[in-house]
Amino acid sequence: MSNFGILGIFGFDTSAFMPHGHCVLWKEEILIPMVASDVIIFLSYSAIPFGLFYFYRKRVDLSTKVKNLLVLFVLFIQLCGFSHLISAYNYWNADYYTELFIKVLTALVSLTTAIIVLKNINILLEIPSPDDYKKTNQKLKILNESLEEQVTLQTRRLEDEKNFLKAILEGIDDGMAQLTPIYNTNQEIIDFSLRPLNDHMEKQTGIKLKELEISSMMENNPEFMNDLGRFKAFKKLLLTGETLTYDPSEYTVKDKIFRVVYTRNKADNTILQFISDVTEREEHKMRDIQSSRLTALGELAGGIAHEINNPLQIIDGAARLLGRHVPEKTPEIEKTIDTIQETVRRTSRIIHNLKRLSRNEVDTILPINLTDFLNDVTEFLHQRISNHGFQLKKIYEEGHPITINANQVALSQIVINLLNNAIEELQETEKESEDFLGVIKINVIEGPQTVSIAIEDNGRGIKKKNRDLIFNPLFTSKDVGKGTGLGLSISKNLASNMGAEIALKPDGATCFLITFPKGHS
Amino acid sequence: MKFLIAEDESFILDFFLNELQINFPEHNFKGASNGLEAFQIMENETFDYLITDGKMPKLSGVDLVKRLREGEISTKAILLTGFPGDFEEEELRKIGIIQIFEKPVRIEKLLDFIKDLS
Repeated sequence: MSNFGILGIFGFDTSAFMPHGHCVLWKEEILIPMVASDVIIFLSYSAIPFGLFYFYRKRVDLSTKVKNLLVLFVLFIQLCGFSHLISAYNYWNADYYTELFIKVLTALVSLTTAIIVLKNINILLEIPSPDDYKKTNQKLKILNESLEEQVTLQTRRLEDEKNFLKAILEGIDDGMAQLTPIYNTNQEIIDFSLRPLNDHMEKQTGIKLKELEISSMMENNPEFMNDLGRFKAFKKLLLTGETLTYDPSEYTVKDKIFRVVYTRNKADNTILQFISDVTEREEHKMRDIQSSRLTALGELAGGIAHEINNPLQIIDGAARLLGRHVPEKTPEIEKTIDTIQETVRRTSRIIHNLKRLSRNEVDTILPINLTDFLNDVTEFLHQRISNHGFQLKKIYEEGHPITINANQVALSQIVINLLNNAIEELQETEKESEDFLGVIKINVIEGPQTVSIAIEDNGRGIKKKNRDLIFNPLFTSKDVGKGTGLGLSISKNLASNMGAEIALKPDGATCFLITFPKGHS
Repeated sequence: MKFLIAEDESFILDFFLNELQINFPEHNFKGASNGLEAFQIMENETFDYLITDGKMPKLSGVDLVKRLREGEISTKAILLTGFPGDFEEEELRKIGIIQIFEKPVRIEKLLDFIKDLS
């Protein structure tokens, strides 16, 4: 150890001083604990800055003020440590200048630290206590839990809603499609494109989904857009938002009848189309109308039967009396009387048959004698056919008993319908060619298992392209306003309801066959 | 045999009476112009058969037969009607209507039927 101590280089001479050990008379019992304590304090004070430095580095969130305070604190503690170290050193050395320097420096730093700490005590107070931290944490935890719960609930609700909508969409049997307007440069709608939205579209329309992907409705279906006025209607719908319902729509595809609803989708200014096949319902409706008309006719006939049959009885009796009182009965007179009596019977049969159309006979299937039946039915139309100058030829063997199981009213309806069609066709043919003699033939054809009624006319015939279509609902080749296009489809239905079939003979003259399984005679 | 014919249409009544009498001179035929008159006649006179129209003023054919049964007159009846659908045949049989003819009836049919009765 030099006599000038650590600061000897600055010219401080410490050689005159006594080491501090002399003060305690080098008594080991004081010296050793004193020095040991100083060293331990130094080591401890040196360790603390490491901890603080670590805290300083980790707690990036701390404010600059707190960080500066920490630096001061580190300096202050380290200097305190050095002052203890130098004290221990000076027990053997007398480097009091260095000790003084360190102590003064420590004092300055301590004072500064004290002032700053006292000045900024509020900042220190703001540093949350562990208790605060715990409480805050607890609150956060509760908040977090309730948030999680809300998210779960919301998710479940959304899931429910999704399932609900999905169920509705799947539950709806309607085909759904979207019509998107196409604009020109002036922002005017010039066309629409069509896009199917669900698989039901194919089921309802019978058209492949791919074919329903239409980029230009105006090009693809000008008849639908212009003639039926849909283009205008769609434009108006986009403006007003008023839902359009066509039930049934006059537009048919593959002989299906549809209910179509168009509604605006405001979100993207497109039109949603809902379509469902109502062919069966429409046929039912027409059949009901037809059958209620017939029922009404039957009831009317029943009502006037009394009033007509009594006069007929008088006519019949009067003719007989006349025959008896004529002195010389010529063949002409006899024939005339016969005609009167025959006409009376025919009139009476017409009334009788009309009465059958009344309600109580509409639904029953009973064994009927086919030839008798045909005689009765043709009675209705005989006059009409001969008025037009046409012939009705009954080819079947009269009196030959053939029994079929049928609903008499329905079968009358079918036969009358076919005969009416034949008459209309003959009228049309007559217009086209002079010297035309229209003939309608009715025959009964017996097969081993079946019996058929054949109704044939010698008109122009049914065009080949129409042969497959004639039984479809709404199909008609007649002039506008004349045919409903439902007669044959209803007839077909009526026939199948009683186990019979109607078919058109594949070639030759127009000949319809109503075929029944053989009944028991 | 004695027959009473009830028919409100006088031409028809006369015609039937005439035809029947000519064809069956051995039987006795009498006429009544409505149901009530027929009932009054039958209260005092016994007949083997009643031939009656269905629809008549004052008393219809079926009501006439019913009233006869109430008065314990069991004369068998033949009904001529313009609208047979009005009645259940079963019911008519029960009150002793043995035959129903639909009007206009062919006189030959009626004559045949009466021939079979005797």
